[in-house]
Amino acid sequence: MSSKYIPHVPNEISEMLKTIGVQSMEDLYQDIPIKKRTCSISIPEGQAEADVSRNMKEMAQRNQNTQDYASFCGCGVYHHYIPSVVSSLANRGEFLTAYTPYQPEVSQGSLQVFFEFQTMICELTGMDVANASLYDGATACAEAMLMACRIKKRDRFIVSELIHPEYIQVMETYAKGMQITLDYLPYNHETGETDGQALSHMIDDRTAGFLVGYPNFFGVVENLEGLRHFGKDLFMVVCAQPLSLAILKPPSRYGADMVVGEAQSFGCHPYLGGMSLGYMSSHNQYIRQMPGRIIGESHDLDGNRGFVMVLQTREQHIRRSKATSNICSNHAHNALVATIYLSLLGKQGLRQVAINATKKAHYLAEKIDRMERFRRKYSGPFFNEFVVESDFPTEEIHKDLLPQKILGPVSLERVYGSPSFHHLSVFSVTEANRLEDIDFLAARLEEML
Amino acid sequence: MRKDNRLIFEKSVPGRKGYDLPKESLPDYDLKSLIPEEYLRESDLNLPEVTELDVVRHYTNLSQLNHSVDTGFYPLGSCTMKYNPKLNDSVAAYEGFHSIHPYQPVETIQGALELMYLAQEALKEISGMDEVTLQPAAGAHGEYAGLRLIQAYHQDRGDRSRKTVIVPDSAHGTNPATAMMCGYEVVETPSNQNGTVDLDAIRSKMDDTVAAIMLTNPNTLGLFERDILEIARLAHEKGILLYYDGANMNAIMGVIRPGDMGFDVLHFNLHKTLSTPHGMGGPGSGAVGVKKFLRPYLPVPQIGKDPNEGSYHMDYALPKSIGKVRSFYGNFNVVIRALAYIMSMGCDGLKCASEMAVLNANYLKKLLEEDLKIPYDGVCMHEFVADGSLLKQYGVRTLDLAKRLLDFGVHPPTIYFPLIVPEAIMIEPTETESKEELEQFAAMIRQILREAKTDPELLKTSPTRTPVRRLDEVGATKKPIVRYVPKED
Repeated sequence: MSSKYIPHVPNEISEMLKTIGVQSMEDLYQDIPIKKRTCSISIPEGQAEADVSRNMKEMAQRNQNTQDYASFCGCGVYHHYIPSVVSSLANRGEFLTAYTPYQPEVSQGSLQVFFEFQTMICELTGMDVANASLYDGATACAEAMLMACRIKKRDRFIVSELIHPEYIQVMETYAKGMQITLDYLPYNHETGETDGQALSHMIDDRTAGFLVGYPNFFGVVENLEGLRHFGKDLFMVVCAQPLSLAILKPPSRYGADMVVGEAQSFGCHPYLGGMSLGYMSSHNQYIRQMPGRIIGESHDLDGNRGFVMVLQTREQHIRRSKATSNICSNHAHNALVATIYLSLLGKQGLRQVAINATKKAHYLAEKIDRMERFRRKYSGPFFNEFVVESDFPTEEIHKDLLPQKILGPVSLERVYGSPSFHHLSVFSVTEANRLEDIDFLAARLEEML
Repeated sequence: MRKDNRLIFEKSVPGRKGYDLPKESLPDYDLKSLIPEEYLRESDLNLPEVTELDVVRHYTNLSQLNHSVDTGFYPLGSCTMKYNPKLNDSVAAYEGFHSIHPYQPVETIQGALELMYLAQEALKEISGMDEVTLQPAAGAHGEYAGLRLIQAYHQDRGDRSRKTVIVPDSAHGTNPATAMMCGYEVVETPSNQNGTVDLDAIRSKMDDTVAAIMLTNPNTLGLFERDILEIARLAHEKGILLYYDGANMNAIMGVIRPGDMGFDVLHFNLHKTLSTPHGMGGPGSGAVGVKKFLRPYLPVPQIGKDPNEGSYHMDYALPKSIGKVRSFYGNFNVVIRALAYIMSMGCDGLKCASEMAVLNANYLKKLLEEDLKIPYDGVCMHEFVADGSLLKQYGVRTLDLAKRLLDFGVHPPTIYFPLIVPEAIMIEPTETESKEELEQFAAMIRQILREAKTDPELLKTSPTRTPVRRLDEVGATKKPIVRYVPKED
């Protein structure tokens, strides 16, 4: 067996075995019980690079993708135009093949990137501190719930029903493990806003905090001022779509204690939902309760500025069973991608991307408002996506749109796995949707039989 | 030394830009007519204003401050810093993979589902397990999913007395931290003089309050747990499930399978064993494998193949499922790379990778055994741990040796872990390093040990050839500055 990834030639192997003082590889595996050894694992023989590449391409080509199709799919994962610079820089081996910056003297590249990332997240959310990433929006919400319960030393937590249902499922998983009771905050079925008044009736002396979306899962921009008012003594966590924060007031302005969410929008490809980027931000006073890596500014022996991992005694490799979380690997490389993207877009560009998404989404909404068999379901203000009720099941819409090279909308019946969301779907629009595609989509919808 | 160490924010000049957007005539809406004015941001968003070239130079220069597998030897124990083939990155960059949405109709993502299915099948074979989920995002996250599965299994059987998890004193910190997040008490069990789990000690802790035992095999000392079959038998007798931390699987692919050792649940670290890049700390992937009896508890959805039609589907109909541990279906971008690696290596290649990893570790251990104290006799697996306390006689520590290594252009081994070896130096060369590389490394260690005798100050003040010198980590934690704040004019 020879592989281009393994350097050993036969005479080197013999020399090495001889130096070690054993006869064969078998001798090196002497501690492994013979009766349980594997003869061979039943996977195909190795293939040359050209063959792997071709076989992978064949699989890739059997996916209808958002480069070839106009997409109106959103609900937590969005397609945006990603400038060439992003992958060109992020794929540099010095970033891609480095590990956690345990040796800061040879990791200043990574560390400074994360410090810049933390700063950008703080700018967007208005908070004081951010960590260097979590896995995704869902685990960010779950970790925020755990953190709220730790800080308040309470074991109940309220989540708005208009949080992404998959995020709620993950929170339920984490809550069960820690014996936290989750309560569900209902919503106004007219406006699609979380019902703040209901909040005041749900609080008891075990309630640590509450979580709301911004915008929420139905795309509606929540009235955070009202929610803060009704839950005034609670730990308030906002799950914000961070692109919207380029035009919306930062949640800090409404007294949020924590802002978390999913930052895939910032330069990360959809990847079937796999290239996610959880972020978490809070106030200085809670920094010691935060999970995950945090990078801080320092200086070296010569007084030069440098960056290091700080407050590591919160983390599992030091504190073990007393750590704030078990998280070790995070989504560092996706944080790099976001940092490069945000640097390119900058102060004006990100705002423009958010404005274009808002305008184009409202442009589509206006067209849908004029249709007979499609109507917008909720009246609350929205950012770049909205719920539509149609006279047909969403599958029928897909059947009509797919041959026209259009993907979407997202079926709520599918996402919730519940027939009570029959005929409801979410249309999502970003700056990357061309106006002519929106016109074409609207025309197709009108013509559906 | 770096000349320009400004942050990207400090390079900002008002009016500069690094983006453009298509020219199109958007409807002439006033933003205030779309979203109530009181909701709209009033303050500026202080992101940088820089050109594309500024961004390119800034991040290119930053990248060059990093040590990486692509630039040099990286024998970081427990982390498997093997070469990450470039092919894996190129195939992961296919549009048909990166531009697909998780809520597209399943018939439009059949290629992606097939890929995930093939990855699951291969991982089952490698590990000897019956089912695999690709959902967990990282090793620790896989541990979390795995322990929750175990919890669900016990509870489903009405067995509610199991409140503890046994973890060896040599375990990764994630093991006890994960047990805590699942609401378990952690019971630590000691290692014996040989560096493996003390059989009598662990046996005495096994009773009907124990839900699971978490083991790494080979363990964090790089030693194979020879008593594993007996431990498994004893555990199962008491109704305890056995969890395999897959961090060290690079030693045993094609040689022995955790499923055959008696483990009930395991996680893989695709970013270690299966060569996907570590990306400065992530994303990884912590795919979890289980024996058949745990299938009902797996997270949803499970990716399956319809035997009649040859098409692939997502199965949500698992009423006893633990639910979800993350959104969507796992780190698909990482899974693509891992499958590309498996396809390239094949059955024999994976076995060869493990064998050469073990050969390299034993060879390097042999080269160093006269210079460094190796606390445990016999062969090692893919890594070994040295005891650096002999340095103390010269007034230096393992930390100083590690810092001095930086001056030679290699990344130091993992230090001060595992906790049971004083001044631990944990070395994992991996199979992708050549004999010469190992010999050079051994020579460096020897030189540094000579320097420790003759010029200990040199070690204590090292590194000097890195972009920055030793940093004040204690001070940085006392009063943390974790974001840039623009200077007031």
